[in-house]
Amino acid sequence: MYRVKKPLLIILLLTCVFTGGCWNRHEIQVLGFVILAGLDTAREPGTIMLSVHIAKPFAVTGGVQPPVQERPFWLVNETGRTVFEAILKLGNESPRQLVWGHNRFLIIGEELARQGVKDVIDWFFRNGGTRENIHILVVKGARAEDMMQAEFELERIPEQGFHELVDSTRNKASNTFTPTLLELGRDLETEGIEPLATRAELVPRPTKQDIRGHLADTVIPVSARFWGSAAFKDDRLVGWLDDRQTRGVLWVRGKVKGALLNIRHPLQDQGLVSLEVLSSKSEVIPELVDGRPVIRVKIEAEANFGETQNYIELVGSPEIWASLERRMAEAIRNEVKSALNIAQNDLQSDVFGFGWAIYRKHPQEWMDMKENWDEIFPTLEVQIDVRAKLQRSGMILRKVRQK
Amino acid sequence: MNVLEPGKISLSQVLALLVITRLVPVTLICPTVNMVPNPATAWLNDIIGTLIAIPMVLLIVYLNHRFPGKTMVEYAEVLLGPVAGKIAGTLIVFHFLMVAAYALRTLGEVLAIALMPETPIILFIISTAFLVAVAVRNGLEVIARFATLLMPIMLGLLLLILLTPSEFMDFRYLHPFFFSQGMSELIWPSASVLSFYTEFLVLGMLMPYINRPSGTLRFCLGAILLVLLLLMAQCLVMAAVFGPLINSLTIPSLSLARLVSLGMFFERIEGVIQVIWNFAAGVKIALFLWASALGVAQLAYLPSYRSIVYSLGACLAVLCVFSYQNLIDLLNVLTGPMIIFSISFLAVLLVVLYIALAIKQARKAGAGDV
Repeated sequence: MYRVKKPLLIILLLTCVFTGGCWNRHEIQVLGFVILAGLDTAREPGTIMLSVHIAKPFAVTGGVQPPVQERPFWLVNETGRTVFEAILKLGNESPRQLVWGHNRFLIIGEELARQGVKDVIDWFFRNGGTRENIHILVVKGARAEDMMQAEFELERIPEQGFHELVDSTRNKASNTFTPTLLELGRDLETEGIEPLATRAELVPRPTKQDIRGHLADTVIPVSARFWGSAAFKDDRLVGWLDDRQTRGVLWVRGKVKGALLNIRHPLQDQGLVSLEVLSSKSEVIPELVDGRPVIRVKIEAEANFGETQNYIELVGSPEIWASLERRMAEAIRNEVKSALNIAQNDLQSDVFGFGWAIYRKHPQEWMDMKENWDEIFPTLEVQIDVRAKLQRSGMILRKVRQK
Repeated sequence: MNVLEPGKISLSQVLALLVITRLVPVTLICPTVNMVPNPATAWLNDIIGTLIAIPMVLLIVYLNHRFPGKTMVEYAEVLLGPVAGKIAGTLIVFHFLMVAAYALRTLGEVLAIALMPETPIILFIISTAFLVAVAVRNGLEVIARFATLLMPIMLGLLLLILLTPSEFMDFRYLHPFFFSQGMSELIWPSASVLSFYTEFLVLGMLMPYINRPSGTLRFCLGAILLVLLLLMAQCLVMAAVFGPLINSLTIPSLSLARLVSLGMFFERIEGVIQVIWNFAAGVKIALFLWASALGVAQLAYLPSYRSIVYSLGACLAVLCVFSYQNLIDLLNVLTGPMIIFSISFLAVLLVVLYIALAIKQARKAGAGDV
């Protein structure tokens, strides 16, 4: 038998006391989980208002238990000259120690976003407890604290509702854009591209409403939706893109994973055809003509035939198929054009990343162009080259006819 | 033969030790990446640094082959005579201790930044130094076996964090291949890559204990190649994920690990990854503590190095606490003075040893002629 010396054994046992990291022991009963965070300007200039939802675990019920008539979160706000100050001041109100690891959203009010976000996001990058993949929502026409009042009929916890909205909008309609803090930070620092963030809107619900479908006879007065995107210039919000303009930018950025395009019927004046876009690719090719940049955007998209209002004979008429594809390409081109129009004329912000494309291909020339990019971009010539392909037509080949 | 260290290690164990030694400064903190102005060019530094490192390693292996069964501390004395040899040996030992000290400090700082910000760092340092000293007392074989056990796990986790953040990767960040301040941009980051390869000097202490010394060169080059591939993969992935933010990160690998998400379910595993990397750092510190203990024993003709391990471990902890004031100081040292010191020390040492060897051979040849 190997004999352990007694003094050694005692020393080893003693070291156990020191090796557990007991300074950082956290018991779950005394923690308050921040699940949603919002930032606003505060009344006093130069201060920031932080609003958070802190989870109330005892009010969360699941499975077969009857629902508790209590909100499963606590909305609390606090002001500070820096974000961190506001967070520490929250500690004076919250009986539980705040934990940020479960927060997946940072909501920013319009006023603060217009003043600039670069001063308020540092803590979220620096702190080890938060994540770089939290999503940034900018509230249109309201404050973040108003957005924190929004609830969803289908989720007891708003944060869960927002999370599912991100999932459900990301790959389907591409009419909104849900970047993470990491992507926002990247866009902020990358040459020649301006950031986009999610545009979140309050959806007021009429107070007198049919309560069928509600478990309790209370009605949620305000809900939220993601629609379009918030366009930045440097770190300041400069304007809003609607659904088509957002998708126009996303076509160029190559981020459209799914979309719905309505085009006119190829033969008749009336009746629409809906096409379901499945995937897209894009390439931005910058060229310098006499030192002036010209951008060529190549977009490739694939779609399925989704719905038609008028009769179309698909089988045996390749020219109709080709005409549908032409119209689809035209629809995509129009979306990019409308995005270009607002970005070049109204926002004057290069949300497409054309400058970045020039930097990637002609870095030396970009260094000279960079200073004047704000003047060059609004008059930049952009050629849009779309190749659209229709793949399948669903479960039926032709429309059901009336006799 | 050498009686100080009775253990024998295999070539694959040497490979594991070398790979872990080189990867620790990349997985814990990665000062090289902090020095790169353009993320798209980061990978080139790895290639340049590694290519310059290869002749250095060749020279170390060549010198050791000329003195089979002798460690570098021993043959430095043979080559340079008793006084200069002892000075060289002392410097080598001090170099090993410095490497162990910065590795230990890095381990403590990373734990304090990312996992346990409230715990005093001295606690991590003392407990790790003690554990490492216990491991070293058990000899080289123990360290080597643990290294072979750990290397596959470490590489597996590295691959996991390099492959999983695919949704954040944008390979357009790998353009343009452009140096805004000219090619001189490459000098310091490449030197930084090279400076961590100088730690392969520990081969000079390891080689006498390899059971098949003839294959050492092959396995060393294999280790360098493996490390180069991993360094480049890491650089490319980090550039694609973080883009221009790459040189803003304190612990790039951990930031990458924080993005790991497998099927919305297997998330927030950076704690596990960090623990494995701390083990790897432990192996590295143990290896260098072993090398310095062996070196001291050989310099002072001690019958065994075991008796001085605890005291050297205490010296290590003290060195580690008092050499660096804080994290920024540590990074400043690693990205400046440490590069200059380690590269010039290794270059001068190897060149002096090689010239001494050449003179000795010439004399021998001359004597033979007569």
